[in-house]
Amino acid sequence: MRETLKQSKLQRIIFGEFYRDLKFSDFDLGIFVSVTFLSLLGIIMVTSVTIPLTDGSLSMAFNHIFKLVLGAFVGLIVFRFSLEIWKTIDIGLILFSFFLLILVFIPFVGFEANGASRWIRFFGFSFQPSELMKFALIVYISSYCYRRMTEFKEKWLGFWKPVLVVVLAIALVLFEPDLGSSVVIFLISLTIMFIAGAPLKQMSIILFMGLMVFVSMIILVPWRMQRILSFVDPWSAYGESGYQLSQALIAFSRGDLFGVGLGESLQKYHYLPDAQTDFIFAIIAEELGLIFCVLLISIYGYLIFKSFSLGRNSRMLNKFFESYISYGIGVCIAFHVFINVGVSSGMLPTKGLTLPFISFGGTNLMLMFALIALLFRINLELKESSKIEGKVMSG
Amino acid sequence: MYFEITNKYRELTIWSIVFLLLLSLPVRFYFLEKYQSETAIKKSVSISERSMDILARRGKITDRNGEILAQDIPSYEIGLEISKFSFNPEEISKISTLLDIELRKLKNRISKQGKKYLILKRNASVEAFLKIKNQKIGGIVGYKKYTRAYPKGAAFSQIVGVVNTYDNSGIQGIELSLDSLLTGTNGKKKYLRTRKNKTIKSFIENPSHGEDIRLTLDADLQSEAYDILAKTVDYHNANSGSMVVIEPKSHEILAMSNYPSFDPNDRKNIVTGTLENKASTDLFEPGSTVKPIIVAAVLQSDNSIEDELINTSPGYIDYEGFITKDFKDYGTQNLSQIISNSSNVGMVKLCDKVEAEIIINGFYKMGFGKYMNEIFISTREGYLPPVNKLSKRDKVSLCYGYGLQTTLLELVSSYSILYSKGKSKPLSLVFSSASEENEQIISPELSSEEYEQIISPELSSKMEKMLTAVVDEGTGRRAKVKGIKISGKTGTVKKIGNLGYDEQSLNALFVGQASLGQKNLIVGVIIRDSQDNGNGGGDVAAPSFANFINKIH
Repeated sequence: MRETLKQSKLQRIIFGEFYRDLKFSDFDLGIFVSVTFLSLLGIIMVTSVTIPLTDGSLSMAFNHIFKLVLGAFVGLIVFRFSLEIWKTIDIGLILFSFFLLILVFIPFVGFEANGASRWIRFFGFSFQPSELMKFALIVYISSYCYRRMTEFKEKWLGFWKPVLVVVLAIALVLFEPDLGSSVVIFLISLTIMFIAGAPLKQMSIILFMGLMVFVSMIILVPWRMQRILSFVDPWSAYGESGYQLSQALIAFSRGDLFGVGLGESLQKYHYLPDAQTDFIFAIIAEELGLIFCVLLISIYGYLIFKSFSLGRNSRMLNKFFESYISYGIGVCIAFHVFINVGVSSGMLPTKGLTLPFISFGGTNLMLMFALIALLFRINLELKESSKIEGKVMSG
Repeated sequence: MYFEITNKYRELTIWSIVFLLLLSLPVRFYFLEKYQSETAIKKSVSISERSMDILARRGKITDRNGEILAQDIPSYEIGLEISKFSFNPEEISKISTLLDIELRKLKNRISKQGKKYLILKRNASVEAFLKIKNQKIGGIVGYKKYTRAYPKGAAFSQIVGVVNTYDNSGIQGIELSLDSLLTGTNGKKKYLRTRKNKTIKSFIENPSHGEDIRLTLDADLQSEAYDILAKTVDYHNANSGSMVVIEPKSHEILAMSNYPSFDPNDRKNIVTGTLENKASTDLFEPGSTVKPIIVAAVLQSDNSIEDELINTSPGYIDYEGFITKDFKDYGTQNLSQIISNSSNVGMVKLCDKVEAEIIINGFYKMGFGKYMNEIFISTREGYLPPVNKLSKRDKVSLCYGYGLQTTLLELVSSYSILYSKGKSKPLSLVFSSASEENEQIISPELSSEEYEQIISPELSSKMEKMLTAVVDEGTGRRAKVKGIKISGKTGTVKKIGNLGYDEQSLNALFVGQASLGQKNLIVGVIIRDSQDNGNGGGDVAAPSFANFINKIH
């Protein structure tokens, strides 16, 4: 019943080998539209924020567009691999991620900025291995839980083996230090394991341990404690640790419901540090207003809903690997959004995390596009298999 | 021991957690908006907004022909920011010469510890500021402001008034009474600055300048009146003098001068007492000047006595224990002669027959004791004794102007009834301003029905004739001006001193009308306390009236 191989050369080059030409309808339209919207908004906002930083030049804006293109390219590469392949290369991928993560600490390769060594540099590009680690872990844990489902659920060692990998990854990321990414990695891993049916007793032990580590990281490192305290009352620590948050709150307040207008932000004029990366949401709030912010969060919500639905549908078709990955992607986006917005609106203590598709920063864009590419691939494969099995998808 | 839950419920758990977390964000926004916003905006304004006042100009005050009596002119406050100053002795001496400050004083002020800013000159002219600015002395700054200037000087001081040098608000005269109209609202220039102190944007709230006020005064008449007063007061070595000129048809005040006065542009040497507009505030007993007024009031209520002849011999009368004297024995006289010769005895005999109520009401109707609130400067109403406490003696005294008090303005206002066919209308000093909403407050434009007919037009012209006789053949002869029809009435009144009436201290009064072609003018003059060259209404006030008419016609 499979149609004869009829694929144009161009398509084969772009999407890899399929038995037919891909049509536009093969891609999930909702995901496509929302990602496009977010990326365009990202270009606009990064341009708006970086013009004052570069004294009127568009260099950073073009840099951002270039990275978007690069991200899309990475996405395209990811899309070419069928899920069967991801299933098999998971261990290689995670080993490679560990390798890069260790490189961060090697002089001349890794480099330090703002007291954190999170980047490695090659050919003039800087790259954040912790972002790759998020991707690798989603694939690895999904694959592990799928391959060793019974072992994972029933054997003590079967559960703790992947946990050990996660702990190692978190330890390395924490050592950079990058508490924000460690939290995201921890939560992604926890979610996938929970979905995959991890024993609740073990889960609670992990949760407890994670919390302990988190709390001790905060208590042991003085500047983190400072941040926590200034988060409670940013105005009293205005001159010091509360400065950034205070400025973010000013941005929100200035924006009010409808914003001061695109390009009209005051806070981007050196008042709010990291306005183009971790605090870009505050500038969005200032320029476009809180109502737009709620809309923006709904769009993220829709994207998350889409990936969760994909996870649910996959599970119903007994495609557990795809299901785990989809949930992993969903929570990865969700926690990025939640933590980023939570931090810039002062609901959470200050943590450096980017806003997906919008913040300036190449590696995170690549990660996000890679994740979206996976979703597209899963969606496509799911469609195909349901066609083959003659099942009608129900939502 | 753990219980298994199915995949479905685990997924549901994740769905719920994630969407609850996302939902918490808008909730956070709400609380942010509600509880943090105010603090945040305040903080933001304090760190990134700077604003500067754009001063509003105070309205001009002009005379009826648009001649400027008071206006704001741009000036500078020149100051020194100590932290930017070099303390170079050369620069200090430059400042000293350019700004005309004593070098020793300047050095003292500059070397005073703990000052950040020093005002060198409050009201420097624009040229003076540019001069010192061009020297490029570090720390010298200038703030633009307005300084009130009074180009017409002392003749207008009490009417136009003055402003406070500190904030340019009115403290006297029209400047005070119409302060709210004259004062504008300052505008603002707001700057939004980057953290690196660059201006991103500036907003301008334009100032709304104060309104211009046009007075009914005629600057030429006012200045002339002032000059005449000055000459008269000096010549007679008098204490002071006031003159009021009105136009009887419109009841507009054309001049209201007081001498001595002060220079509103240089207030260091103001003598107390020169600030007030004595023409409207100084109370005195009007004496003989009320005789035509009370005769008119009596005739209006009972014209049967019009042709009565009164024997004033032997030139004095003992009435109720007090002796009232005339200048000499005038014999038998009619009403016109009584007024013309200013016979006190005649007035006593006339009023003896008239009821007290008619006299008091007559005065009141003729404008005595009424508060003239239409005139927007400080005024005082005259004093009339209450009818029920009036003795017979008090009653007749009123008829030759003792026992009541008035101001020159009130007296002139009262004469305007005699001179405008018996009609009364409040005097006005200010024309309606440009702003409509304030128009009514300033100048009640009375329609013809709003004129109040106090005495009949016939009686009014009879009175005018009597007053002409005063000048032609009576006590007011020295008010005569060749070729001009003059009428009026003199008055010489003892001033009340510490021990009752002071025989040496007299108020010399003349109120009258000059017919100058189309225009008639009612002029009231009072010269207080003349010491040399005469002291009565006939020989002090009447000549100054004539001098004035001579000068202006």
